[in-house]
This record gives sequence, C-alpha cells and structure tokens, in this order.
Amino acid sequence: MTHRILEYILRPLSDAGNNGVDIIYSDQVKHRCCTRVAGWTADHSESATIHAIYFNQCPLCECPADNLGDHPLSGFEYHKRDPIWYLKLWDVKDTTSFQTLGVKPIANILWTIPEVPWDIARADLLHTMFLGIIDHLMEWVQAFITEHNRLMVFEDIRRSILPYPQVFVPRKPYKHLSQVTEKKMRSILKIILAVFTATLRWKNDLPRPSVGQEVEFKKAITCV
Amino acid sequence: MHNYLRRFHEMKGVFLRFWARKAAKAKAEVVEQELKKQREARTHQQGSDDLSMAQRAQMDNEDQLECRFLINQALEERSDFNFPKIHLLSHYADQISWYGSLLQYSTKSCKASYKLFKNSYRRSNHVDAIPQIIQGYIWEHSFVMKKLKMEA
Repeated sequence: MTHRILEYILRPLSDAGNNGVDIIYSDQVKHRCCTRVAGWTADHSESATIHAIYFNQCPLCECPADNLGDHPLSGFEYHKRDPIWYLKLWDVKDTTSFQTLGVKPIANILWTIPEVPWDIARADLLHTMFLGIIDHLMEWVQAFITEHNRLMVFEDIRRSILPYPQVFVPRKPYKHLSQVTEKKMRSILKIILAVFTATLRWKNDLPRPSVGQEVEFKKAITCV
Repeated sequence: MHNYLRRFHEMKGVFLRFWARKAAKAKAEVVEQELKKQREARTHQQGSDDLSMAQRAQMDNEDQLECRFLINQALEERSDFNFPKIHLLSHYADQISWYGSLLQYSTKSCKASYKLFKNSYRRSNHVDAIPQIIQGYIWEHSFVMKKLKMEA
C-alpha cells in the first residue's frame, strides 16, 4: 500500500523529469522545466519504509545487522544497495536472497522508476545525530561520570560556563531536561568535550584515580 | 571525518556497559547476587578469625573491585553497538562531499510546520478533532494572509 502511494507521488514527477513541465516562475514568465527528485528528508523508520527494508538494516548499503556497530575499513566498505539487482531477484521471486539482504519481498516502486535515485532518503541530522547519537552519548557520559563519582563536578563545571552566542547552558541537570530540542543539543555538543575533559581531570576534593581509571578516562575522552 | 569516526569506534567500548541490553542486565544482576552470597558466606566463615581492621578493609576493597569487574564483564558479554544510527554516521562523511552541508537535510524545518496543526488541536475540544483542526488551521492561515495583505 505504501509503495502504491509512493508511485502515485513519484510517477508524475518522473514523467515531468523526462518530458518537462511548464512552471511559472516568480517573474511571471513561463519556463519549460525538467524536474528531478533529488532527496527525501526522512528519519530512519520512514527511510526503512520507503526502501522496504527491515528496521535493523542500513538503507544505503548491505551491511549485515550484526556488523552495524563496526566501522568499515577504507576500501572494504559494504556494497551499496543495487535496485537493478533487486529487480532481477524480484522477477525470479528469490525470497531467500531478500531475507539475507534484509529487504522485504514486496514490489518496491524505487526499483522501477530510474529517474528517482536509490539513495533518495537523505541524512536526517535531527533524529540520527542530535536526538539520536548525541542523546545516547550524553546518557553514556552521565552514566560514566556517575560510576566514577564525578557527577557533581560535571554539573558544577557545566553551570560555570559563561554566556556566549549560540551556546545554551541549561541551569537544570541534563537528566532533568524534559524536552531536548535540536538547538539545545547543538549547543550541548559545543561544550560537552571541554566539560567532560575538565571533569575527568579535576583533582580537587576527589580521590586520586587508579591506573585503570586513568586509562578508561583517556579512552572516554578520545571517544567523545 | 573518517579519522574521527575511526577513533570513536576504536574507543567506544568504554561505554559498552552503559548500552547493555535487558538480557545482559538480567545476567549481571544474577552475577551480582551470586557474588553477594559468596561474599556473605566468606564473611561468616572468617568471622571468628582475628583479622585487623586494615586487613578487612583491604579484603572488602579487593572484593568490590572483583565484583565490579565481573559485573562489567557480564554486561559487556551480551551487549553491542549494532544499531542503525551508529552505522549511518559512516555514510555521512561521503554525503557531505556529494551533497554539501548536511544541515539542509535536517527534518527540523518539517517539524516546525506541525506547529499550526498542534495549536489547532489544542484549541479543539478533542472530540472528533480532525474537522476542528482543519477549520482552525484555515482560520489561522486566513488571518496571517489578511495581515500580510494589509501590511503590503
């Protein structure tokens, strides 16, 4: 059903790309334009629906679900998803290959409209980065600091940051923030490394960290 | 950017125990309880022995460290970072060179356009809300257009 709706939306755009369509510009002059679909801004769940893949799969490459956490070495990246190959598999009804590739065995409209690029769903910074990875990173940082009894120091350093343009320093602790927006996340991102490093290197009123802890601190700072 | 990502992926294991799944947490709880029982049994056994306070404190400290190590091991055994968002970061470096700044693809502007509909829903009586949302949206839009025409 979703792909029928997508066809209803994308097919006229594809025809307009091939044959051209008259568009009146802001200067009231009619122009013959060949429109091209360049991107579809979508978060991961929408992207998975558009590409008809399973939720734990990458929409752009054929990385197995068990290797999503590994960074591929340069030159050893996974194959990009190939709509022509998928269309051939669909024609012979090869459902086993679809299962292996993490693709749902349904007639995907993106395979049959060549004018629409396969990687139509573009990166969504809001959900993937700011409310995704950065949110998780903040949780990990909070848990790490709590484990090493430095949460109070972290909050004190964060609060002591002076006002600066485009840097929002919330008065409340991070875990008490009810609604975190992209703007807040971006400003937190600007200060997190400095505050985190200062917290782990803080020496006043705290027991001296052991050698194991020092190694962990260095790793955590590099990671952040 | 690839270098930063590589370093992040090399070092992210430090945070793995905080990304533990439910199964790993359950396993860690079991390990913790077992260790607690063992510790209690050992304390009970050594109760009659003549140990100095310093020796006891040292043993407690060693026990705590061992306990923490085993719990962390149990948490990390069954956990991984295999979720799509962390993998998508590796594609962003290429996408910047292909399509330019990624900020132009953020869904922030799309989310901002929900505001009028949300306001209309809040003004409705929440019973059969869809016609009221549409009506409210039309009113608000008409007022904005009227204001723009008057200012022009």
